[in-house]
Amino acid sequence: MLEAIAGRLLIAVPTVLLVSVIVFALQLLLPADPALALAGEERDPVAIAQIRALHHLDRPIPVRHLLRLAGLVRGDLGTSLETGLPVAELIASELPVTIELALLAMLVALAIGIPAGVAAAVRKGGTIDAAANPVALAGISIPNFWLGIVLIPLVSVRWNLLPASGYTSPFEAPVRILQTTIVPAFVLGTGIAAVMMRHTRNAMLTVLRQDYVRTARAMGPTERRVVGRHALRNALLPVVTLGTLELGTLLSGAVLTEQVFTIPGFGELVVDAVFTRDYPVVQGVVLCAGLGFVLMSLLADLLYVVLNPRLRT
Amino acid sequence: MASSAARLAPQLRENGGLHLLEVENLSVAFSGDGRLLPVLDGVSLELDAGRTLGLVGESGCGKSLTALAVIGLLPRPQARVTAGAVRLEGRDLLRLSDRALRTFRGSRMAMIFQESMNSLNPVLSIGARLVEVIRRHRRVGLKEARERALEILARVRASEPARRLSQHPHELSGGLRQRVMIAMALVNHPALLIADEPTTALDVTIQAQILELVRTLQVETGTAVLLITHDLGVVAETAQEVAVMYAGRIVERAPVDALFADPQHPYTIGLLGSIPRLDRRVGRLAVIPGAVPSPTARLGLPLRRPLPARDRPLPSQAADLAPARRRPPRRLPSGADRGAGGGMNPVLLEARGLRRHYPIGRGLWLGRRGRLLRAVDGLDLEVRLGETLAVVGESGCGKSTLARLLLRLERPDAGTLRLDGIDLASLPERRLRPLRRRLQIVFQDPYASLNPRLPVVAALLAEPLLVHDLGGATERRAGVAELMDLVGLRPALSGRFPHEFWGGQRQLVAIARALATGPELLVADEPVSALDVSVQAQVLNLLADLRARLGLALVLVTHDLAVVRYMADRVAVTYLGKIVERAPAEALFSAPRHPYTRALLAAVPRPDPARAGSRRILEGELPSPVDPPSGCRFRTRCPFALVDCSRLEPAVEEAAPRHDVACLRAAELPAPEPLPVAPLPAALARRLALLEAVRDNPPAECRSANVAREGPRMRKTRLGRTTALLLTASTLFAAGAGAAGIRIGIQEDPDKLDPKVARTFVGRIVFASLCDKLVDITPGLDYVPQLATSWSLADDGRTLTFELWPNVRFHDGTPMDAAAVVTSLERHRTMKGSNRASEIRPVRKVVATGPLGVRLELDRPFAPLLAQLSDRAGMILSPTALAKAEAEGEDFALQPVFAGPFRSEERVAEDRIVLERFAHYSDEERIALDRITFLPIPDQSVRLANLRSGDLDLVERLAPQDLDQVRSDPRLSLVTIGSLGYRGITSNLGNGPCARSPIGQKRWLREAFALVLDRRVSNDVAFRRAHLVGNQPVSPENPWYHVGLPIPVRDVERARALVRTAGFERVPVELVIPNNPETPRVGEIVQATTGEAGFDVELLAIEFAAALDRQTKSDFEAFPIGWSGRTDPEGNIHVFTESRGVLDDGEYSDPEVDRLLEEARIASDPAARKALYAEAFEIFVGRDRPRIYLYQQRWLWAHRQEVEGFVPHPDGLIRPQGVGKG
Repeated sequence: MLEAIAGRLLIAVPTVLLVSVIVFALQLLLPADPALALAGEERDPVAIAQIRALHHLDRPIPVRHLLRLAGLVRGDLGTSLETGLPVAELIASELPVTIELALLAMLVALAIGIPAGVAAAVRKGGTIDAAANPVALAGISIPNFWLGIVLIPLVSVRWNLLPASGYTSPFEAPVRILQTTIVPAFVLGTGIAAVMMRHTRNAMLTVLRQDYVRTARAMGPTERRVVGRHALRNALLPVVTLGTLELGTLLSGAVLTEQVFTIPGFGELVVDAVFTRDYPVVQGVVLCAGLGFVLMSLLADLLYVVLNPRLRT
Repeated sequence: MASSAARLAPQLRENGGLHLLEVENLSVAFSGDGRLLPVLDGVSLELDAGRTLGLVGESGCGKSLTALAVIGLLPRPQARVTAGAVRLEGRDLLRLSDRALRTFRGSRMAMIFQESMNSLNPVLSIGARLVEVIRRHRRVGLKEARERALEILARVRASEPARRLSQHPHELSGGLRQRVMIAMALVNHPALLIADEPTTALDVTIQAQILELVRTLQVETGTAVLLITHDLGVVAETAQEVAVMYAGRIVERAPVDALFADPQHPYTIGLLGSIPRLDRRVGRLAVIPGAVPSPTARLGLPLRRPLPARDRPLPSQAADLAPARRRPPRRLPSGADRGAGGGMNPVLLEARGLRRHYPIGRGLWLGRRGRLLRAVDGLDLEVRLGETLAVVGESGCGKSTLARLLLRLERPDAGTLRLDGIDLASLPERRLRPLRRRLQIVFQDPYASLNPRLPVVAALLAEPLLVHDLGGATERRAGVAELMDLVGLRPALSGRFPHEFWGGQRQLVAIARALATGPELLVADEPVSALDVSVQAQVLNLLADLRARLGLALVLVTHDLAVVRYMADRVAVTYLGKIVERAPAEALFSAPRHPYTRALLAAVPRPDPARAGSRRILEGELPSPVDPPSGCRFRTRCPFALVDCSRLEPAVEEAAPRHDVACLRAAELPAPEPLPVAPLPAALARRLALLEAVRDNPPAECRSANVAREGPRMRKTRLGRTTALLLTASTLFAAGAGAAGIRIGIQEDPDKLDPKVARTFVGRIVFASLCDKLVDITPGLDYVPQLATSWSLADDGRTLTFELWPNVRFHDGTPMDAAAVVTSLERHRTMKGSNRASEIRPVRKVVATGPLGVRLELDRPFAPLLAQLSDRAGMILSPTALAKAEAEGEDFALQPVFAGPFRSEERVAEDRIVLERFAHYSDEERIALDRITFLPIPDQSVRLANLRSGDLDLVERLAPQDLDQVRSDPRLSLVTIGSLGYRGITSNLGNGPCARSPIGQKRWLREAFALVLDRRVSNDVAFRRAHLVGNQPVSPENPWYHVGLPIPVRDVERARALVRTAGFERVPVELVIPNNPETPRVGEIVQATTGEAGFDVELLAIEFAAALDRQTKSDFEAFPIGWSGRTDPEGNIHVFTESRGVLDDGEYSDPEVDRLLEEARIASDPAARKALYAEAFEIFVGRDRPRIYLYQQRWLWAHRQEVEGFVPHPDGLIRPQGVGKG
């Protein structure tokens, strides 16, 4: 087991490095000179030259990448062209926000998706099931950011329940943080909840048809127990894969939602960075997100083992 | 207790004539398509304690439904009991509530099912499951429940019961899983056990063990057993009474002996005749024509099997079959008929030392060596022309692997496989392909082995012909028809998809497909084990016929010895990947040599109640092929095993002519009892003959019903409720904004708050509260003192002196004095990386003339200098703080110290900048706020929403389309002022190849473009009239505007004329635009309006940075330009217009303009400057038009009503002076 985990982590290193090279290569395809984007509308040639020199933008591409890799090996992700802050610091400051939003969104998705999926499957063809599909379709189709734009005036302006946007660090105001992240988490979570609901429903329908559910019923347990103990745990297996994948996606930043709610997460960071051609930040975030994905798939595998005794031996 | 029930049963009967179980006239219907389809029709049964009733019939006859109805697990909501009663111990189960019924299930009655990988919950341990079942029905503690679980496991003869408790189903063998299921069913001592095909998926040896176990437990507990099975042998061995079901009805009921000896109903007769039997060899199996019809097909119709007989003689001209024509069947040597068993025929396929090992559990890492599953482990076999060779053995013996190896569907690890002398084992795939048509296979599962997306004719059957390039389209069609005919399928079915056939027909299709290429060898891997007995007979008959007609060699891989007996000429018995016995069929069945063969034969239940019972049951289960026992692999289960058997591996040796055995003791073992040959009961034989006669006229009572199962519907659960609780919980918290300060929504997060490098506009907004400058401007663009109290410019324009306010302090308490000004300005002027250097380039030197006096010395007169010093270039920072930051290697911008009204309190990237009031601000009485928080919110509408919700007090840069919202909201105020900037369209006049465009070359075209452009419309449509229409680099409201050049009136006619004058009819223009929300709209309006004069504007919308890239690389014909504007007109004009100006992307160059601009730069008298600019405007605005100016933006702010005293300035900054919150 430990060996397997170590193996997976080991394989993550080349994976992430490869991601880094690909990102570096891809960004070269982007037109525009970061120095130009950084110089501001005045585009003062002296300033541009200085920016180029400062960030080695005047060096040949392979040299730049080697410099970068050398930095990576030292654990140095470089500094932001835009703000001059170390990328690691930027990431460190945005990571908790991203993680928190991702976890909260996942919580929302789980809290809605799984019960709804179970209910729809248990009463297949019933009211919940009939309602669940269009609602899920809506949840999948409605763009998150649009839902956000709609919800902000509703929740914050009309009802005046929550602050419309902004973010507070969890360390300073725990209540406020819930207030500021609950709506974006809800917005993000609903889309995932919809997918999750459909997966749960399908998995539950499959599981409920399984022989062991029939076997269980023949021994006379209550329906609740049949659904909860016998069916759900088996049905959760595919949902776990989906959930961790979605979590991985969330961890790489919910770009539009973060923009709408002005949450300083990875999404906002990377979008700003792309538009200003702040490559070190782009690379840092992508690298971090890639690592996140690797960890998430590892987590998925571990959860699988926890949930599925067949994998333990 | 069940044992008491056994004693009680006779009493009950005496008391009221009651049976333990009474099913009376039970009818069940399925609802579908708005109709009720009867699936059970008046079923009546009785069963007494200690007795076993066998319920037999084919799939779809209703036997399982009957059982489910009894136990109350009919699939809901589809199935419904329409009539009848089910009484258990006198209580009508159908009238019980669900709740009451559930307490019955698992306690008074229990049910076990066919073993499958999934029959037990894979995620729960055996112990947990047993404990759950026990505690569901008994009030016992966990400990006691575990003891009982252990006890029952021992009782069902599970090996190592204690270990089993903690194991999960996947860790158990099939037999053990079935024992566990029986344990679960019996742990609460039910009076009734319903066993639905309990041994169907098990190997014969395990089946024998399980049946024996059920019998033993029944004797011990007195439980009544309702045994549902399709296997008449199982019934004969286990039941005392039999009920035969067909199409939802019980068609015959009799004591077991009577039923087998003298069946009455034609269906029973057919059933008995159709099963291949181990105890006698029949010439041909009886066939029940057609299939159990589906309920929808026969609703309300007289129920009979309407399909034509499929078991009809084959076409006599088999040799003319299209595929066969291409490869005529080999002429078999004379005498090579079935009776001779093909034994003398030449060898077609010969396997020697065949081996296939699968690596399992191999670690991907650290090079750990994996273990091997020895599926086939050194096996010799030959298949002769025209013979049927059966390969038998239990599951896990490697039979299916062998089947795949024989066809070279898998490459053997070792050994040879010769077809006509060619070794297939080592042949590359390319050379193998032409040989493949000679070898074909039929798989067990016709559902999985036919591609569901291909219709039978078009693809399934024609495909093999196509793959092997056999014949053209017409020939293929003919070939398909003949193939279908060959297997007895009506040609009309040829357009159907696999799912439109039923199981037996599908297998016929699979056989037809295999025959398509005219193979010489057909491998059939368990071809009938997924089929019902009557269908099985048809398929087996067909295979036998085909073999005879086409001269096929047939390898029949099966676990079913009765099938082997019916079909095979020779038999090879395999055990754990090796052959243990190889003999002609007759010899093998009459005198089996190997102990394993003997055990297999003994384990098969006989459909003959007279002979049931006494036989030896093979103990234990098949060892793992991963770790086969040493020596003789069978020794662990062999009743004759000696010590030597574990050391020596027996070779396959001839024990009798053509009879090979791999057993050390083969010679010395006592001759087995000859297998009893049971004559067909006379009555049955007679009736079978009769059956042929009645086939086309079945009795009317053969009612049928087929059941389509749907997922069971569940009872109410409480899971549906707990959804969006989080949201409601969070609404309890109300939002609160800081009362002492205001919150300002800005467009983006500013860059560094260090005036030396800062470049963003939002940064200037923050600086306005944070950092004072030497001078400031008024809304009317006059200069007013800020840190300087007064200033004067020398007559030659080369010296500017400032007098500073006394007693001004920086945020760190240090004094703001001349030295600080010198430090700051020198830093801006000279330091590397300064973005200010170019703004104050003419400054040669900054010197302190006293504690509060500063002199700036210039190389040349520079009129815009004061304007520059009213912005970032004139911002003064604390030298002490700067030195400290430098000493500590910190970035000054992280903790900037200035002399402004607010000091920096906190900055969180992408989140907020908090400024606190500076108590010692020099102009303190004008500051009413304690705190200002800047919040970057990129989306304009979201910014507004935050304002409306009260989370913000003031927002900058509203979207023009949101203006109506602001105006209609009484809580908000709109504040607006014309800006210093402008928007326009730059043409490429002289920069690179792109300048050679018509619009770059022809001044008249640019004039025409400017004339036809509809400035008003674009402002109305794109900006809701938020902006100001303009035509110069400064706005008409600006003091520097040249009134002599008014905004041209749109004149399409004149524009057209100009286009024609320039020699054009249509003028192509490519407009590169950044794809932000606004600009494309402007582009579209430009496109539409200029089209009228003959311009064909092509819009190329790309991302901002990429668009910028094209502009600077002069890779454009025209692009829309936006400029934020500067206080002094110089900033709006020079860099764009003078030759080689930094922002003159289109490379406009005119010496006269250069001269005028240079003079304007150094002129110190504003009136003179204005005249110079007016003259320059006449040339580049009125004549050359390198840039067509369209309009000047307005700044659009909105704030809450509570905010007072906000004064808009044309520079768009938010000055905190005078701002308060009511």
